[in-house]
Amino acid sequence: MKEASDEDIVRKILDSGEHEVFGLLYDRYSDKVYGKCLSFVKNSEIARDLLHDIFLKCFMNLSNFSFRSKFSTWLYSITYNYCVDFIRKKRKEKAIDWDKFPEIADSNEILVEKELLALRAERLKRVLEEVKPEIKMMLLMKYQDNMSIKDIMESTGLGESAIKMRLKRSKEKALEKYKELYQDE
Amino acid sequence: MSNNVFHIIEPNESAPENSKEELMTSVKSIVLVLRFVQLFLGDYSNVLLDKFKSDKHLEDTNNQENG
Repeated sequence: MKEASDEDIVRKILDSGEHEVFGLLYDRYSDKVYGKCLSFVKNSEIARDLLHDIFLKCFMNLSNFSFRSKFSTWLYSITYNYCVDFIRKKRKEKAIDWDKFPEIADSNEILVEKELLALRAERLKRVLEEVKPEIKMMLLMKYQDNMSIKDIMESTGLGESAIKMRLKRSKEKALEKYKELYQDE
Repeated sequence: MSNNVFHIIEPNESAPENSKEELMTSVKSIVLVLRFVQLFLGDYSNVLLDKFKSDKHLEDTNNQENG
């Protein structure tokens, strides 16, 4: 079973109820999920609790996994949503209203992306700490996990145009924050 | 090494020790609770069915006595 694909492990749990093999999925992804939690909450104790709750949520919702995307994509989307909700509740923030999100006039998406990807690592880290968690989530899904638009659509349940719009605005907002933070240099 | 700056900043921390044991204990508890619920619901429907049968039997007996 150790050689089995993630999806085969999920099938095994769902078909024969062998919940013990869920540990194999934990072995494969716990470091990644923990790292993502830590990057959102910056506290190892809280990240540990989130890691536990995310995998438990994943186990409880295994029957909702559609097998249309990779298991890892599905797990990471649970992770991001859980972390974003956690931070929003903690900060008592409302969800972003993307339709009312200010658009930057005459912004060239390709140039914005180029500029963003050319940032120095420690500066990008700082920018991601400063922007809203939903923006960070969109950028990490796209550029760190290399999720396609289709993967993000599957994970979020949103349509293609909504995803493209959110990605565009997330890039613009991140670059705007960068300029705000480092305008004197 | 990747040139993508998002990959460079990707955290590489390991999950805390014992976290797997904690998770698997929780998973086991949940499975146990679900099995109990299943058992209870299964029995509950039988209990309802038994009650229906005895009520029906009582009703039939009363009808015979009265009729």
